[in-house]
Amino acid sequence: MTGMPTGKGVLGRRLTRLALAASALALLVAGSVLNVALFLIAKQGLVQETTAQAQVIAANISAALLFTDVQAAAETLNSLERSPGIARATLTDAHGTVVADYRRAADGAAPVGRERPGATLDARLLVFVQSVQVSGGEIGRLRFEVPLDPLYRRAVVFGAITLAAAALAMLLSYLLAVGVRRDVDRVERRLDELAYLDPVTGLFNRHAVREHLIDYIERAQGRHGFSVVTLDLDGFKVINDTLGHHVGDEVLREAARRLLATLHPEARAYRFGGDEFVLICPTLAGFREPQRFGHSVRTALGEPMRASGHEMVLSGSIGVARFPIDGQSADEVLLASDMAMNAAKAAGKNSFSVFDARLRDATQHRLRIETELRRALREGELRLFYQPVVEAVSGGVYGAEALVRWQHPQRGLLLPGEFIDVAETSGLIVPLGGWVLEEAARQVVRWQAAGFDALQLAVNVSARQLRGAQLGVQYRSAIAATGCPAERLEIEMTEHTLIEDLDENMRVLNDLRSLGAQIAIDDFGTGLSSLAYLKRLPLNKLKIDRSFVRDLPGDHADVAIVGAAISMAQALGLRVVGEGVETEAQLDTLRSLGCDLIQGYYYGRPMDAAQFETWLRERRVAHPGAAARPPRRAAGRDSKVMPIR
Amino acid sequence: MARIPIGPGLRRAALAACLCALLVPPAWANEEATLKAAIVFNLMLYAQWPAEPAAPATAPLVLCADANSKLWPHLRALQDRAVRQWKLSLRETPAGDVGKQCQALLVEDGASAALPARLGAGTPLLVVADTVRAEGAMVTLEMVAGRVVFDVDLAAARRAGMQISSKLLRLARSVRE
Repeated sequence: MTGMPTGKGVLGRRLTRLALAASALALLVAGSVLNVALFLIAKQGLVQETTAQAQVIAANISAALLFTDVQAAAETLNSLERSPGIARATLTDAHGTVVADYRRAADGAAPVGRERPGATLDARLLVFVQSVQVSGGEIGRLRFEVPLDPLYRRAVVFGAITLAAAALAMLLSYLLAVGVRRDVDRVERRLDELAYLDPVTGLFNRHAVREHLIDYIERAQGRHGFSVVTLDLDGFKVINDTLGHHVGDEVLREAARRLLATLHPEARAYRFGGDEFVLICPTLAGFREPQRFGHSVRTALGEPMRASGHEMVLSGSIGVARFPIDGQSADEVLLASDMAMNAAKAAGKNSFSVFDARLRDATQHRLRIETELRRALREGELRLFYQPVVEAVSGGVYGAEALVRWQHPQRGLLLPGEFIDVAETSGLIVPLGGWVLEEAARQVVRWQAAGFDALQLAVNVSARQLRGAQLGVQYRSAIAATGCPAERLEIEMTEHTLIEDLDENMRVLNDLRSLGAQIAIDDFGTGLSSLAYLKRLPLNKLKIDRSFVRDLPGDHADVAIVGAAISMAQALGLRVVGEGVETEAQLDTLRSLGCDLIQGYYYGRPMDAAQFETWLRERRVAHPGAAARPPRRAAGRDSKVMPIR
Repeated sequence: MARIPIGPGLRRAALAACLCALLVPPAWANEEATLKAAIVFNLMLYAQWPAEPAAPATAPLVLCADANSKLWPHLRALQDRAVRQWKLSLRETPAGDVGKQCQALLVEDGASAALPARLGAGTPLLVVADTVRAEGAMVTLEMVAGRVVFDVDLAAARRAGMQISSKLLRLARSVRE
C-alpha cells in the first residue's frame, strides 16, 4: 500500500483538461477562420475566373452576333465544355432575344433572368452577365450561370482536412499535457506527503488518519475488517516539562521506531497529536484477538530506552476498536478506539482496553449529562446544601461547608458524584464553581441578615478554577456582587489539586489570602501529604479525611496518624477539622487529640438553606451556653463562633 | 487555298431574327440591298488598315461606291455612322487613283474590268465585291437561300496590306489564303 488515497492527481487532471480545452478552442477558432477565409477567397476567385471567361467569350462572340451567325455563336458557347464550372451560358441580342443557349446538363430550360451586367450571387448560384460590345456599343449580352456546389464541396473537404489536422494537433497536445500532468502529479504527491506527515517522527499525521481510514473502509468491503489502536504515552508531559522538548521529541521518535518495528508490514502508524499514536492494522489475527495489540505494543514500549542520556521506561494507555464491529465509519471507529484508550487510562497507567458498547453508552451518558448540566447552569437547577462545622471543645457552631446539588427536573436531587466528573472533564466546572462561590457568598450575607453573623462558609474549588488565575477573578466577583466579607468565605481544595502546578497555585492562593480569604486543605492524608508544601503554602486549615476518622477510636494506627497530623498542623499554626464524624466516640477521640473543628453526621447532614437555618435555631436553643472557642492563631480577629445563648 | 465550311444551321437561321442583332439594324429588313449595306458597314468594323495607328480619330472613313448602284441609297442612310473611331463618309468612286481617296471600295456589277488598273499595288484599301468576281476583292458577298454569305480572300488583303479580323474569318463561308 503506497501513495495517498485521496486528492491524488486532481490538479494534474484539471491541468490536462485545461490544456486540451485551450488547444481545442484555439484550433476551433483558427480552423473556422481559415475555412471561412478559404471559402470567401474561393468564391472571389470563382467570380474573377468567370469574369475573365465571360470577357474572352464576349470578345470572341461579338462578330457572330453582329453578323447574326447563330451557329458560330453556338460553337463559341460550346467551347465552354472545357470549363466544367459553367452550367449555362446564354447569348442574347440587344433586344433580349436569345441567340444561343448552352447548357452543360440537359435539364429543363429554365427562363433566363435579366440581371444587370456584373456578378449576382445567391446561396446556390453565381450569375454573371457580360455586355457584348463592338466599337463601344452594346450589341447583346452574355449570361453565365455558375453553380456554387463545387465551392461547397471544396469547403467540406477543407473542413474535413482541418478536422483531421485538429485531431492530430489535439493528440499531440494531449501527449504533451500527459507529460506535464505526470510532473504535476509528482509534485502534488510530494505536497500531499508533506501535508500528511508528522515532521518529528516521520509517521503519518492526524490528517492522514481519517483519509486512510476512509480508504481502508472502502477496501474492506466484503472482506474482514481492521483494527484501530490508539496509544497515549503515560507521563509524556512530565518528560517534556522536566527534560525539555528535544528529549520529548527523541522519545517520540524512539516510540515511533518501536511501533513500526513491532507492526505488521501492512499496518500503518500515525502520530495523532502530542503523545498520542494511532495504528491501523488490517491483519485478521489482530482482528480476531485484539488483545494481541495490547501485548505487542506494551512489549515494544517496555524495553528501557535512553534519550539524551536519560534512561527511562515508556508505558502507555492502549485502546483498540475494530471496523465494522465497533464503528461503521472512519469517525466512529476512531472515536471508539479513543474511548477504549480513555477507559484504559482511567483504569490506570500502562493498561489496555478493547472497545465495548458499554463504553459508548457511558460516553453518551456523559455527553447527555454535559448537555443537561449546561442547561442546569442556565436555568438555575443547581442548589447549595450546607453541612455544619462545629467547634470541638465548645460545641459552638463555627460555620458550614457548602455542597452542590442538582435539582434535576426528571431525576430529582442529584449528588455531586453524578455530575462533577463530567463538569471537570468538560470544563463546566469553571462556571459551576463560579456560581457556587457567588451563591455561597450570597448565603453568608443572608445569614448575616438573619442574625447569624459570624458563620464561616467553606467552598470547594477545582483545579480547573485555579488555572489561569480564574479563581481570583471569580472570588472577587462573588464578594463584590454580594457584599460578603472575604474572611467569611473560605476556600477548600484537595492536595491533588494543589500540587498540579505548585508555583502557579501558590501565587493564586497568596492573592486570595491578601483579600482575607481562609484556605483549607481538603481530604488531608489521602494525597502526598508532603510537609514541604504544607510549610510553603499560605494555609489556614487542614481537614483530616473521613477514612482516618471512620475507625476511631478502635484503630490505633489511625489514632496515631490523626494525632500526629493534629500536632503537626498546630505546630504550623493551622487549625484542624475532623471530617465524617458520626459517633460520640469519634468526637471524643478527636477532641482529646486536640482537633479544633468537627464536621459530620453527628452534628448534621448537608441541608438546604431553610433546613440549615432551622438547625441553627434549634441548636441555639439546645446549647445556649456553649463556651467560646479556644484562642486562635489569628488572634485579634472577631470571634468566628456564633454566640449561642 | 482552303475553304472553311460553315454549318448548315447558319443558313437555316431566320433572316429577320438575325437582323435585329445587327449593330445597324435596317428598319425595312427584308430587302436584300438593305441587308447587304448593313453587312458592308459591319465588315469595316473587322478590317484593319496599316496606317490606322497614325490616323487621326476625327478623320472620316471614306467608303467609295457607284452612285448608281442598288446599295447606294441604303449606304447613304449610314452616312456619318461611327466605324470604330471614325465617321463613315460615302463617296462616288473616283475615276482616278481610288487608293488615294478611299479607304473602302464597294464593287458592284459592271465595274470589275477597270478595277485593278485604278489600284496602285500595296494600296491599303478594303475591297468588297457584291456578287461579282472582282480581281483584288477581299470580301465577296453572295446571296444564298435568302441569306447573305461572304467569302474572304486573305491573299488579296495581304497584298494590299489590309488585315481582316479572325472573328470575321470564322464567319466566312470560305477563306482563300
